[in-house]
Amino acid sequence: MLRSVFDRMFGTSESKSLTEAGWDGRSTRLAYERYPALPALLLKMLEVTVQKQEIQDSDAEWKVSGDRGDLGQCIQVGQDSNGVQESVALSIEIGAVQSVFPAMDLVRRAGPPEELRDKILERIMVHLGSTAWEVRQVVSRAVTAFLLQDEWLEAILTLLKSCGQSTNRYHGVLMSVQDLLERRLELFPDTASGRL
Amino acid sequence: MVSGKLKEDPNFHATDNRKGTIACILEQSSTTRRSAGIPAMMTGVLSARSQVPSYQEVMMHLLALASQPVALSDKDVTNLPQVHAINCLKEILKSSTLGKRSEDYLTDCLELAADNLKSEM
Repeated sequence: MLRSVFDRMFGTSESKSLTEAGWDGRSTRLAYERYPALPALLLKMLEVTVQKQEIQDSDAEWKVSGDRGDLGQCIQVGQDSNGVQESVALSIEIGAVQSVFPAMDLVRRAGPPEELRDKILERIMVHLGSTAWEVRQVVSRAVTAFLLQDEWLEAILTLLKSCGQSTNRYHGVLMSVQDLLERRLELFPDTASGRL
Repeated sequence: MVSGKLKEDPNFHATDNRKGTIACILEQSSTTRRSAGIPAMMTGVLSARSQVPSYQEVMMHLLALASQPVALSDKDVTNLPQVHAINCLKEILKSSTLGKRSEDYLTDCLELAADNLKSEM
């Protein structure tokens, strides 16, 4: 069913190599204006569920850890309605891995929509720290579609600063950087070096 | 009698055929994952381009059928109307004539496909 939808959206005249390569940063592979509800749907498909789990033992040595991109636990200490201190662990759960793949593949092939662009990128980047290597690979290619503009070096530096403490996140970010550099070298060889 | 009906209502056959196809979706056990001839019946009905049932009406009905939740304990897994409806939608999208008219429904179909990837069935 997904394949049929994509074939109808993108057409079937593209070569396999063109499809695999993804968006080139310039051409219009998909007219988002024809599908006004699509950006909001992409955002919904990339939804990250945050669950709160109350911790029995509010150990003072526990500290807030993990940034937004860290797929681990983020501990927050607060007070309940009676003023008693409590610790709550926020587990960031990724929705079923399979459901984010279609959204990422669409963005990878068509480029990001202008509407909700930043929010969609934010949600995609959460998955850069996924424990599944395959997910990090798909995400890195989707992130590349967002960063093909001329300010790519600043985008890479921002990405590298967002690594946090997670090894998985480091790997996902480095894969994104690699994909971006390779893609820029392929598409814009004159501007791919020099400033580095 | 039939020719009389046709004279009165040119959409007579299309309406009956659509109802028969929907009945197959709801009741037919399919031994194949692709719902045997049900998608072909549906595209055949739509190819008639009758006003009743309209393309829009059929698409909305199929989307509604395909979106129905499925309980794990549900009856026979070979008799799921959701599967037949999805296969009908897929066939419509693949059709060179009917697919062109599906633009308004592509976003709904994408959401349906993504939701089904999370299905426990």
